[in-house]
Amino acid sequence: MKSFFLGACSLLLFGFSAAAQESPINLWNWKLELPSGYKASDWKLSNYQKDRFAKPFFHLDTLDSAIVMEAYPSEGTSKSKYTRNTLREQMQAGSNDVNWTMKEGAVLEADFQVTQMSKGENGKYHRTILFQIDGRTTEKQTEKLGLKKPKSMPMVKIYWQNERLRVTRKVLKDESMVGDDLLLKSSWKETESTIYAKEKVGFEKVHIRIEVKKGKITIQVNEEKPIVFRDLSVSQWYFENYFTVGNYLQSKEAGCHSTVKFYSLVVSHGK
Amino acid sequence: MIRTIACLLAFAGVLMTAQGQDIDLSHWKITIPEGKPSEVEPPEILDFENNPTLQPFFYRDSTDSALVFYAFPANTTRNTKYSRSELREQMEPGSNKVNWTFAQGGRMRGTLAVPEVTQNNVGDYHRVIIMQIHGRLTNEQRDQIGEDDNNAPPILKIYWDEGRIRVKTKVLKDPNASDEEILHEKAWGDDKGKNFKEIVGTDKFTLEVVVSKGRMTVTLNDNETFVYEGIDMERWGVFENYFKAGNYFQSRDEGSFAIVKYYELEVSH
Repeated sequence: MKSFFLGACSLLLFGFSAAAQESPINLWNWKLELPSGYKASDWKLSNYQKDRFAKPFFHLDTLDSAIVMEAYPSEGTSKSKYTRNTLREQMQAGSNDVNWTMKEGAVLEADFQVTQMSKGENGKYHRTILFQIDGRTTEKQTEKLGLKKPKSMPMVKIYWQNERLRVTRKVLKDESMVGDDLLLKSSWKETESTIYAKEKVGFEKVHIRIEVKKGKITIQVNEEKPIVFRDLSVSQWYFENYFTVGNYLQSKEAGCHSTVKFYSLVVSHGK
Repeated sequence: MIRTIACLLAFAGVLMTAQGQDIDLSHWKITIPEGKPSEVEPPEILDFENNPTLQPFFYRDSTDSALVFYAFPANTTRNTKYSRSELREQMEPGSNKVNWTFAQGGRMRGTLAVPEVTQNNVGDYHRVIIMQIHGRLTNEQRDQIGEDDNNAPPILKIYWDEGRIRVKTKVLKDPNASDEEILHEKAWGDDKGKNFKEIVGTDKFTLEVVVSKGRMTVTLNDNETFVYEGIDMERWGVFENYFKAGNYFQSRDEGSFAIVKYYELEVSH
């Protein structure tokens, strides 16, 4: 009874803001981009429950308190190669210009579940990128490379692929490389042998922890033995970084559709 | 328990009522987006609550006593394409003729919120200008450059922009332009604009604008301040100015609208 009256009071006093249910994830430091090209960060994103443009792709499942991210092709202004429904970390709300260095480090923890994945013509599941560590040129590097604006390049990608989690990353083509050459995209290549987490995660709930610290990247899936990268390709990565999280469906085929639920998502730095 | 809550509510109500009724309209003229559009000056504006023409666009919210400015694309004033429900300062009540220069200085402080704004067809929120300092040509300046009205550009526009507060000012396209040249609207261009770090969303916030000779400052929530000075501010000294506050709605999309609420508003010189 008490809570009912308190609720009624807060509704009266703050009508507009009280109507939405509490979100399981604090979205203030993320920027959302949807397959329609719609973008939202900080306040606008936090207001997603009342935003009819967000709803078709990004909504709250009130039954199990999860944010549901749907990816399917849509008309619109998106410039992405595939069907993008992603959250981009923004250390400073609303700005892409503050990011973290490898030295500063970062920890991301999330509980997620792929609940739906369409299949392609070959009968195989489509795949989606769930997590990325993206590198981005600092102001100085941007200037040094003679670029007009900062350039981004994914360092680590974690896919849901054939019901398993697959990790790929960028490595140096030539480990003896030094200096400014390390900043060139052409100096890096995707790893040839990809790594899978041990268990088949399928459509189950998964806990993941990604830690970047002192030239080392650790990816832990559930209680498995962590996947660790600790070599020159990590220690020579001089870019600034940010996390990208969500459901970046790697297809634009008609009828492709994937759904990922996020039960929790927390990022911290400098711990 | 119920009694306690009733008391709390009543107390909150009293606090809010006291706030909203603080706004003294005796030096403001309201423009609404209906009629030619319609304008109501002091002393008639003081009785706005009994004015049926103003009612839909400018009224007191009975729950929190705020002054509500409602605007949607409708009729516009001269020189403009967007419509407004907006107050224009009148140093001399009922007259547009008396205004102030930067040397004379001025201060405007308001507590406000933008609780409702529509989105465009791709989901961006429509923008709203919530405060302005507008320039004005004296009759002599007007005649000197052969204009047919006293309109000069706004030196300050403060926007609500997707939950952020964005400040835009004017800069001289040519800092060496002559004294007469700078009286022309086309002598002035927009600066890049900047956003305060703090994001207000639909919450209440306080803005303070302080102007003195060659200088203008804008402060959000008594915390973060933008300072404007230098050649542009100095040369703006040629103009007379007046403050504006309310809802100058930056959309012509069908069905779009915005609501701005002012809880406090004061001006001094």
